Amino acid sequence: MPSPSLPIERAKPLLGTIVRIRVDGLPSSLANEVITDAFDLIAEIHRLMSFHEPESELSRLNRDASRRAVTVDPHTYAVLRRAMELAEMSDGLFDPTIAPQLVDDGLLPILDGVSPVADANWRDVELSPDGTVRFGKPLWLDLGGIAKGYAVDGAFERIAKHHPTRIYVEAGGDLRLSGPEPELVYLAAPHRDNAVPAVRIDDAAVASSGSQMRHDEVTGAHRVSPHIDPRTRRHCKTDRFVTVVASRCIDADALTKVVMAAGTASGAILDRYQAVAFMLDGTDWTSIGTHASMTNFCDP
Amino acid sequence: MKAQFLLVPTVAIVVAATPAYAKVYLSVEQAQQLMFPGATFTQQPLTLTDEQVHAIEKASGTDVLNHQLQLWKVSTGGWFIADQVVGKHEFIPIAVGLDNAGAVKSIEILEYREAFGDQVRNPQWLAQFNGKHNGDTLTLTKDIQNISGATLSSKHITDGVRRLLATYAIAIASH
Repeated sequence: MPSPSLPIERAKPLLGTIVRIRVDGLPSSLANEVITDAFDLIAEIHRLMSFHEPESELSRLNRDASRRAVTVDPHTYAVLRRAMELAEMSDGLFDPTIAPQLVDDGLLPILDGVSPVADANWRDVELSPDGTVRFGKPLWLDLGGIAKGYAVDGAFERIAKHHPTRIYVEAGGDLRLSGPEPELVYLAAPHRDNAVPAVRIDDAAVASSGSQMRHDEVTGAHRVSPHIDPRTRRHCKTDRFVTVVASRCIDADALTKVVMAAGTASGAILDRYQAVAFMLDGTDWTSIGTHASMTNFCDP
Repeated sequence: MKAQFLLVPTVAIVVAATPAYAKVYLSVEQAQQLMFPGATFTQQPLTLTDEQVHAIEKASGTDVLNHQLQLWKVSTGGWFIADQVVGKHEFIPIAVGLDNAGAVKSIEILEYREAFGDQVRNPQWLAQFNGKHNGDTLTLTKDIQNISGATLSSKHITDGVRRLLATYAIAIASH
């Protein structure tokens, strides 16, 4: 009887972070092949949807789509379709057109070419069934809040076709896993009382959002939220940390932005996506969504 | 969708999160075979001269720490370099495969010690895990990207690859 194959785990710098993929239960040559294939897909998604690369398809959209309809890759179209769906369902709490605010904050680079108009929002993005995209007004799309999750899902699903016993795909905190046992995922949230927050999940995706320390030459290091409440176009609370668990990583990734803006009022939309959220607001954790369960201080 | 939130007492956590913890992904030999399947590799001793180091630093905007290159010529064409980049806290060993024309064919991270992001800087966070070690994975979810859209570790790797491309142009292409 052949000995069980060892898990294969690899890491590459992609999507502006370290992407890690682990596959258990496949022969090592096949495991390496499917992992390479998965990394290639992530690299392709990154090339298409990077806000930072002037040559990406997204940058081309931001330059041209307010002047004419632009044909996009099926991957870009799929992410945009999901982004628009979530924008509509959340009544704009998720809005991929808030990039100008993030540019103002120094969180995204300035784009050359078309300047966005101040009142543009997700409703000005038109997707046609023929695979083209057009903007009703000059605007800047940023898929940073959703494309990473899409890339993780794509990689995961490519690997899943080979039916390994365990899959783990993680891109800088956005992760999706499946395996024979539920797994604990520790959260890099602020914590106290010698206890680390964690979620126990089974065949699911997790994404988290929080504030980050930024260094300002005048005022020194300070905490700033990289999240904008699309309703007010102001920053979300800085002492909030949000983790969303969903079946798909694209949903978990995008819904963190909704919960970051709406807090406990995001229960209904979480339920629609069969997702749950755990939110640290100041010093207390809250669960949001019908399917969430909280157990404090239990052994892992 | 089932998801359970827990606050796990640190005394109950048995994971590898000591400062010395490093996840080893690939050996140099494994990375070679992944990037250039079936090829043979001939190590080429190459020590950069001070002039070359200066030129590489100027061209790449990145400091050269090792003057000695870990360089292999690949039988099927191209080059393989094993190198280290300076991460936020420690070195990150990487492997870079270059094709015949000196373009990047593949990048693999060989080991990664910074899986815990900013938390590693917090001595209290680290102290919680002292003495706990069983080789298990600790997964922390959080990412911090700066204006370049990259986390520090991935930016350091990108900088390192740019330095190796300059090294190729200045010291290897003519080798």
